[in-house]
Amino acid sequence: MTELRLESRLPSDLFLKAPFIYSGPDFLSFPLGMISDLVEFRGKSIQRFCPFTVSKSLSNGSLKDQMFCFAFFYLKDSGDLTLFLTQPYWIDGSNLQESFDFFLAGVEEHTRYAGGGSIELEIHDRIVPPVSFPTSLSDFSYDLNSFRLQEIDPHVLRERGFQEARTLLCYDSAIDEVQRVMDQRLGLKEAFTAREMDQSQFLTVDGETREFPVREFCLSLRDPAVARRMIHFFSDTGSVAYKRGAVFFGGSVEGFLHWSPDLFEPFREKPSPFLFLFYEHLARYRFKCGKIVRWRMRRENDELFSSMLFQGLRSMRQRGLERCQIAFVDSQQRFLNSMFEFYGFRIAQATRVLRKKL
Amino acid sequence: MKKVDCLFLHPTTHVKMPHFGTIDSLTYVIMPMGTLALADVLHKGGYETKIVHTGIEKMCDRAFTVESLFKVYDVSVVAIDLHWYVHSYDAIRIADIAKKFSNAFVVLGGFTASFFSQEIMSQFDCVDAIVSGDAEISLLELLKHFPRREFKEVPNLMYREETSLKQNERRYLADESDLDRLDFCNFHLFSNFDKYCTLVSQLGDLDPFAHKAKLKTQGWLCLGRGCSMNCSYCGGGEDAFRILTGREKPIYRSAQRVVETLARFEESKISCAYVDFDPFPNRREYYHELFALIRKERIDISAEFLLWSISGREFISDFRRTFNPLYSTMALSPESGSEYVRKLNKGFYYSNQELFRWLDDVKREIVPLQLYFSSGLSGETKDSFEDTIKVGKIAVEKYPVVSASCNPIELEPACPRFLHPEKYGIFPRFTRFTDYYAVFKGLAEASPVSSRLGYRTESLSEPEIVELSQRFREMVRLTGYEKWRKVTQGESLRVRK
Repeated sequence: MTELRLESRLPSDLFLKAPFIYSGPDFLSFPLGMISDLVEFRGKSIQRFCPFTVSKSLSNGSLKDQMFCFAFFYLKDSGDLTLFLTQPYWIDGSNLQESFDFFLAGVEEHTRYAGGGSIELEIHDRIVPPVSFPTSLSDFSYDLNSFRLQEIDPHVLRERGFQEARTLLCYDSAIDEVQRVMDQRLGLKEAFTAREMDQSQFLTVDGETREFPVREFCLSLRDPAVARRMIHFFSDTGSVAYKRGAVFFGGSVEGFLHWSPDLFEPFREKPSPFLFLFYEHLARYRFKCGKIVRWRMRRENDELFSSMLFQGLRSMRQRGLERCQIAFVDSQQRFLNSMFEFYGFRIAQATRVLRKKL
Repeated sequence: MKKVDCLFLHPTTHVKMPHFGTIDSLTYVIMPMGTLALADVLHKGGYETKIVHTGIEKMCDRAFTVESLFKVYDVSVVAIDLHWYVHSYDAIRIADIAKKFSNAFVVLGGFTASFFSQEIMSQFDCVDAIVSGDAEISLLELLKHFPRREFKEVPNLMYREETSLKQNERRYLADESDLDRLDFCNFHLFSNFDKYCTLVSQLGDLDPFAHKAKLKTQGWLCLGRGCSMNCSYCGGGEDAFRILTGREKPIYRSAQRVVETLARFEESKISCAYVDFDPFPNRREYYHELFALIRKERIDISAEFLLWSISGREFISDFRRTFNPLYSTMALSPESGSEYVRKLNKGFYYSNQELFRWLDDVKREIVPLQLYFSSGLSGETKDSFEDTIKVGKIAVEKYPVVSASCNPIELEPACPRFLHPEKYGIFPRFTRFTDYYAVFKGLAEASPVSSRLGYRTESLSEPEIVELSQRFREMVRLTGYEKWRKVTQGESLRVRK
């Protein structure tokens, strides 16, 4: 007689089978076997993080892990509480459907109990390596270059009430190639000027540009843990754009861009899921790839975009990087997608976000 | 009722919170790892055996009572671990309940029970016998002779005969081959074992981080018994082992048997093995052999490894190559930042320069660190404690420290400071079992206790010792907070040009 169970734990063999980096809050506690962040919802404090493991208890008393899913609660802009599921990893693929149905029933009950109204699920359905860090909307990024996440049949999800909400794209290109196209464009930097931003400006500019209409996809602007997620960690990786001449006269910010070096590169040499603990090691590392994870513009404007991208690439180039990626681009953002295609970027990763109302 | 030949009961220390109504805090919940092996010895000997951890049961069911067990089980022998002195009151309380609600024979074991066997037997009628020292053969023999109540052949046993106390001359001391025969993984004998692995933290409290999301499951790994040194504050040093068990030198389990245990941990989804046995820091060949075997057998598990002294970089590198990095940490207890105080108190001495060189190596090998400091050490003054704060701050600021704690040292039974207080410059307030019993009774009943640590030193009063630890925590926490604020906001981290 076997029995499935849903527990809060993260099996250690997951890290070897499906390497990941955790970059969220409380990462100092991770090696001690726990993490915490609280969401305040309707007067209650709810534990944000849910490291779900489904296991099967066998007749001899031992356990066989079936699947793992890192999940977290967040507050949507509407104020509703939602449970966000990263793509499940099947540790044992012998009984996918039974495990998945058991898992869904469990997380739905957990979400309802917390007062949540919906569940969202992240599915990476197109991976063309290299895909640099981060690879997820969560603080839990799998190194998708080193293993293959098992596919989930879209029909299965539809049958269980999930509907597609959006598709997010990550673009990739060699920095040289983009710069070559840029050099061929005339009048590139006439209307706007972009410059490096020091860390002291970061939080201010991040706040000022949060509601810009053209920006990277973010799950919520209301929940600070999601809106300001991670990657403040590297200094001198931000650029800010002003109208030409306005920078010295207190002109308003027109655009903002922030990139992160690819943490998977040092990670592959010395794997650790909480690399920020060893930040000095990161600071010394010679990275090859950078990913633009925050990009915001006051309006759709190809000159503004080009001037920000130009500055971002220059900053990467100065640090010896060779490749550039741009993450969290909504597939519906026609203007940006056409700009990326124009500059010769290719799609490295496509992630679908599906939603189920409870 | 189900017949149980031997029911092992683990006492959990209850602390009543006067400000929180009637809710007790459950603390000191780690069970001596030998309990599982003892239960297995009896089980394999044909006896019906069960382990109940009273704290875990309470955690799973707040209405749980020890009394209720005796409505379900018809128990012949109740075995209660009184290893750590923090269970002095609760072990006796449970023994008393067992006597009142059953006809069971109640036997105590563990270091504290061994050290105070005469006093406990004289003072508490609810205790029928005490096994001093290693207990595997003793308990088996006790069960064998139990039907006829003939205990004179049971080794290491003190028991009652009519109104007098008998201490058997026959001794049992486990050797390495005995240790290798023990099975520490018969988890099905342990009620709610899965909860124990998940909820019990090494910090001592039952689920002290209830608000945190749990990631790991932990198992306690037995590598051997004994020690080669005498740290002033430790009740498990070389001399204590000699007094309590008759053991002259440390013994090890074979690497093969340890690897078999780890394989069972892996099967049971225990993700991290807690290792606290390092009696010869200058001779660590055993670990290199063990680590090589773990790698050869492809055991996938993390380890929380408490080193009893610093190591060479090769050891750290070998550790890193062997264990899954997910929950692997190294822990060290410098205890004091003052080299003078450290030398006076620790059996395994190293200078601050050697300590920082070791920390450099750990950082280079990308291993997270836990550091433990103390206040109230012999020879310590308020001034010398400043060195402890200084070392703690440097360690937290420059190294990958995930936890740096400082606690007031308590007076452990059988430690050198207990045995020779004058030599170590302390004035003990705990000298008898009933002193320990009284303080934990006071905590359980929320009544005032005259002493919590059990001593003062020549330079420091008990409140001053407590205050120093508190000061360390505040100062070092602030340093850590500032460091990580800078890191997470990018001030410390520049991408290399």
